Amino acid sequence: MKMLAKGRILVVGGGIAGLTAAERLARAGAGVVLVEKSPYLGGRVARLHRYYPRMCPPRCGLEVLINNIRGFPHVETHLLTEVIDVKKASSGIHTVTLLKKPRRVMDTCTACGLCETACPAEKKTSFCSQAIKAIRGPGDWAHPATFWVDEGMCRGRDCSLCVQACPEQAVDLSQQPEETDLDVQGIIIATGTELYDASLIKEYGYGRLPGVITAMELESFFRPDGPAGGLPVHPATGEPLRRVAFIQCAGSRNANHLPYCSGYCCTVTLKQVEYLHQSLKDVQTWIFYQDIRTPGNREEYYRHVREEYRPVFIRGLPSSIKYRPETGELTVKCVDTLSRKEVRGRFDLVVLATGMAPPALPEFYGIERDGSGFFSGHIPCEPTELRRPGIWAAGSVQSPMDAEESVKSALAAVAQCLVKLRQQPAAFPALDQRKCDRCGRCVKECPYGACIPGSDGYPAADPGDCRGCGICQGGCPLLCINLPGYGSKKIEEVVDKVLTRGGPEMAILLFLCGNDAYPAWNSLIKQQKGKGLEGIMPMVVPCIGAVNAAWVSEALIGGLDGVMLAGCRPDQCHHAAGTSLAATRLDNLKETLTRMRLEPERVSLTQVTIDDSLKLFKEIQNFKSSLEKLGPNPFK
Amino acid sequence: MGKLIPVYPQDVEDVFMETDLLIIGAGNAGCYAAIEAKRQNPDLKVTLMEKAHIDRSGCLAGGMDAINTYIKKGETAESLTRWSRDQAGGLLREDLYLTMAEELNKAIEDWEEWGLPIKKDENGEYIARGRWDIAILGSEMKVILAEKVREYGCEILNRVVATNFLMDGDRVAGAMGFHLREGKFYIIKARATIVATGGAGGLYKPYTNDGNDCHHQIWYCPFNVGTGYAMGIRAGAEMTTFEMRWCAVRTKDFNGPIDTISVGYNAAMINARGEKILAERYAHLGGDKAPRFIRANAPMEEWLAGRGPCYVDTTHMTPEQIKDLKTDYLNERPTFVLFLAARNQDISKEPIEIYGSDPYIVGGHTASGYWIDVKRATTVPGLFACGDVAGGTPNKFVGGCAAEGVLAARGAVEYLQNSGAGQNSLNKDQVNQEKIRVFRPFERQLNVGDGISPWEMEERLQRLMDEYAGGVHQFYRMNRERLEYALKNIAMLKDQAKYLVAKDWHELMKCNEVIDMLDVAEVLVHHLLYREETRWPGWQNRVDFPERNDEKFNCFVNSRRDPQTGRVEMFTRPYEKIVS
Amino acid sequence: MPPKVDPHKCDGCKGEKEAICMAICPGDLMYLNEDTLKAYCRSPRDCWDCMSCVKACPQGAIETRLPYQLGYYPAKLIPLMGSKRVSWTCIGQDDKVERFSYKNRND
Repeated sequence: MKMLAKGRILVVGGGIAGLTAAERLARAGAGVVLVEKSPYLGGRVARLHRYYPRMCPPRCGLEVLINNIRGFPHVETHLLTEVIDVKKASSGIHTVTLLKKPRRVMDTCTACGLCETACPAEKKTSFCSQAIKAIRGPGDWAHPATFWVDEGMCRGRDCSLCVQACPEQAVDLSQQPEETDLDVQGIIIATGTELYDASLIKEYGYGRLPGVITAMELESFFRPDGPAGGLPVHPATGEPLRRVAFIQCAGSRNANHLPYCSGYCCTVTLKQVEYLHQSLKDVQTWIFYQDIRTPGNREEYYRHVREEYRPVFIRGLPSSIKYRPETGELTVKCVDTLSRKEVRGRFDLVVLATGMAPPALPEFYGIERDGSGFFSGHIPCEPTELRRPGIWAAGSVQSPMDAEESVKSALAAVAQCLVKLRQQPAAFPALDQRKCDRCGRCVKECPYGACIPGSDGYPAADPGDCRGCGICQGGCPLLCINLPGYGSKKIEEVVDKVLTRGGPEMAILLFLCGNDAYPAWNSLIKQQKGKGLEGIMPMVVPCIGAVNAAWVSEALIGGLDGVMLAGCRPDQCHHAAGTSLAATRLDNLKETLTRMRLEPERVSLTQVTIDDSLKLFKEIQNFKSSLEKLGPNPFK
Repeated sequence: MGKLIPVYPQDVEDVFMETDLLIIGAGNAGCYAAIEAKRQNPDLKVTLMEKAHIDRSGCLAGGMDAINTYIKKGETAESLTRWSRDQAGGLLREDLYLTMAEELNKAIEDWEEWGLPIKKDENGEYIARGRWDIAILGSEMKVILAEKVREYGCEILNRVVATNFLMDGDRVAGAMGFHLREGKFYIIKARATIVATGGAGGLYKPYTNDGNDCHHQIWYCPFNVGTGYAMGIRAGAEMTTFEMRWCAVRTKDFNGPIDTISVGYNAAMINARGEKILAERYAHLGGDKAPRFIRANAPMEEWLAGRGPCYVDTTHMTPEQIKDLKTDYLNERPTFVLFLAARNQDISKEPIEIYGSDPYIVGGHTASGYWIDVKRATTVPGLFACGDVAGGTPNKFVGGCAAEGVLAARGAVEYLQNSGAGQNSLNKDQVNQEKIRVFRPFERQLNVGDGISPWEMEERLQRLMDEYAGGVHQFYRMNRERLEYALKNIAMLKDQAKYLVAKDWHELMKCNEVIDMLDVAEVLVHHLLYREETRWPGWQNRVDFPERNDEKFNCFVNSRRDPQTGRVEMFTRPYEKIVS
Repeated sequence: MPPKVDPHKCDGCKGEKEAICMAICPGDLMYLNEDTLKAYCRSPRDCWDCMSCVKACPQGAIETRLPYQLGYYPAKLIPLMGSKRVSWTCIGQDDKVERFSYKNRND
């Protein structure tokens, strides 16, 4: 096969996002290494009964992806494998260290199950699950259809009953973990997230009260490998379910738990209400909720379930759940916020609709999390690329999301990854080695890790990774980094011009971030036709973080009356750290100016968005009037 | 990065390097030598060994406000030489001075081209500040020079403290030293070596040294302690004219320069009675144009005569002149402006007090240093010298040191071409002995944990030299008996150097600096003893021989310490007059 | 004359190598505290007041103080470096302010 895209991409995670990414990359001709830490591919979707919006069984979609992946010679798949380290090796190359744990069952396994029967190590993990053995199989649907040995439960080679039981001699308890290093051109992180731990919501008694389960556990009720072999009966009594309550926002939108809405749980509950009513005639379902959040076309589904199955909707979250051992019933107490009356209901099953917790990803290679603890890129401009160029996030590691969104996010990551593999080097900063002291500040401050010290200690921008933000230039204490087209010379020319011109007119240097502030300025000059902007000398920079404090000093000590920096809001900065670095630099300068008895108000950092031309105008006017009050710069 | 802790010499890692030309000291002269060597032959490997950092090392760390030797229109190399001879009491190496003078202007013009701002008038001519001086804005001049050295592709070893030359028989074949940050011992083999470590400050107790935080309140760069002299003395190099010490009139307490004021702004020195000292008391010696050693000594003579304190009179200066004057200081010794503010002193109303400095050995101002030939070769084969460390050329100052760097590089490059000096195998014994010598303060710290701190020994030496070898507290006066006392005590200090202790690598540097200072002080006292006359009253004032004795001493007093016996041999070399 | 470091402004130059003041001090006097990673002067008595560190500090975190032996009043001298010029502000008794600003590089 002709390789259209060079290189080899590591996809971490074999759930629906990782499989989608691996399959699409392979179709585009890229080499792919797919690693999954569990023994099976398919992730959480593979453990569902059906998944919306089309209510497909998990094999639909997953099976196509897995079969395609298996057909590509340039895809390697490693199960029971984790990434334990990522290091930048050279321009565009990361070295990853993989730890492959032993499966202890070989490919010759026919999944006959004799080993599982023979295995003496047994454990029950929750009240509604079947007991599991140390050696066990793939369940209803998973790939590969091969057994594996759960190291944590296995009694080891002294026992070896499974080895003796296997007619194919496929069990090998001597297999050991292996560590390997691998060079890759890109990494797509699709490791997903864990669901929020329901036992942390003390008032709902999960793990303590029989009959309180999670939505994910309810999924298994409908599967052949579920607690009652696919029958929706109460796991304790074996009786068909009669009254089932769903509690929405279980541990979500709550400052003590997850502060955010995971977005998918309402639709999941509606789906499960439908499961129940389809398979049980007399079942009653209640939904305790704050708001039913079914955006877009899911509203239609909500209406369908509401009208078709008539579940009871109670607007309010239960304050307590009580369990009566004599009847096995659960009493749920809740104030209905619409009628303002207390409602009590008796149920044989209470289902907690839990959201997604932030991913537990190892902190390798300095990838930063967003405010919610997820690995989002810059939304919307670079939604999947993390601030370590060459590493993308796909699926729910980015933010809570369902299968549909995970696939979309994986496709976005693939698109960005392929662009990166083919992209031409951008213009990147030049280093004046005569001046550089190899202090390493640029290396530390580069938001992309694109500034790397070479073997001689001099930093160099990786042409593949550098995005030309100029933050290195802004922070360099020796002014030895220059982005083409920017740099100290321009500032000096402006200062010289003002000095030569002389006179008492106010002179203000205005640095404009090229992303938002500059377009805003452009609209402004069209609107104002120069009125009110007299004395302003604008200068565009790729990011406000590219402004070196020495430039601001140069202007001030050269006699300009004020220097204004217009950048993005810190949370909107296209280069993440630009605005905050500029703020720190200006704060330091202001402290020095104060000591110098020079008014710190002569420098100002303002934040504008792209359509904020009016705000920019106001800020400029305010700045000018405050400078007028201060009078001319004493250095003039 | 934390402090590096003491280790035994055998545990210190050796770093072996080879180079074509090794330059020890990356100050002004060293940098010019490096650039010139590369200009002569870009293929040469040129390595600079610097105990500080090239950007801010040496005398120009804080900057400079003027170039004091620039040959302006109407002047010549000969006229400059004549002037310098007068200033130096008739004794200088005219061959050296003339060759240096030929290079002066080019060196300065290069500096300007590289970015050093030199003040100019409306016709584009340099603004004169006296007969030979031009005004510059030199606060960043050393940084500019360092950038150029890097541009020429020289190898720079910052924070490597040179301790001794590497010898190949009688020939210098590089140098050894230790790296302050890496904690390693460097052995650098070189086909030719230039020493440019500067002069020696801190041999004498400064009068400002009276407690906290003032120890280094001296005029000369206190980090130049004479290591280059000491290395040469230990290698048996011939030294000249150490007795011609540089004791200058400086601003009182601050120890800042005053030529800035007196030459630049025509401010006369006055005594407590308001009399213009030079015009009224030294008219017979040229008044304001009297030789430097007379001018340098004049305020101190006024003190002795009961007419102190003395001042430079700034009270006539206009506000613009005062601002210019302060700008000059900001470019050289910025804290003088702070000093005036901290005294709440308005110099348009109150003159600036002056006093004598502690004595320095500095070949850029007087003639002390290595005895060299016109190629700047020392008496030890393979070793060249330039800048403050090179002798025979008084009044070369910043420009002259730069020019001499150029000449030393040419000499060294020529030596490399002609001698074809190859790299012989390394003498391991020499390296091991040197490591034992250099790291002895660590061994004592590790084995005994107690001893003499380098600061204690430095202060003992400084007081000894001050009291017995003509320091500022003695108004620079000395006699045979006091000098002999000094020698006897220096010998004791040298013997006790084995008790020095160092708790980290910085202190180790300080210990080795003190050991270097002892070697320089010993040779200096021998020189002061030998010249039994008083030729330069402010600088070398023998109370027992108060007159000038041209019959016997119109010659250079030279010395050589025998590397085997350690005995200092004194002898003379004739003065040769070239310029009429 | 000891340089005083403002620990709130000093950021240890962020790098793994030397801080700028530590790198350039001609007397090897500036060091980083190993715990706080803030710079300090290890031997104030040995400072030559060349102000190299004050001028070079990218954070403006260093100030040169005169010892009492030299100056009676708490004056200040604050350099601020641009890219091609330098300014000095001297603040004396009664808040008397003197300012200087000029080019110190021509390239």
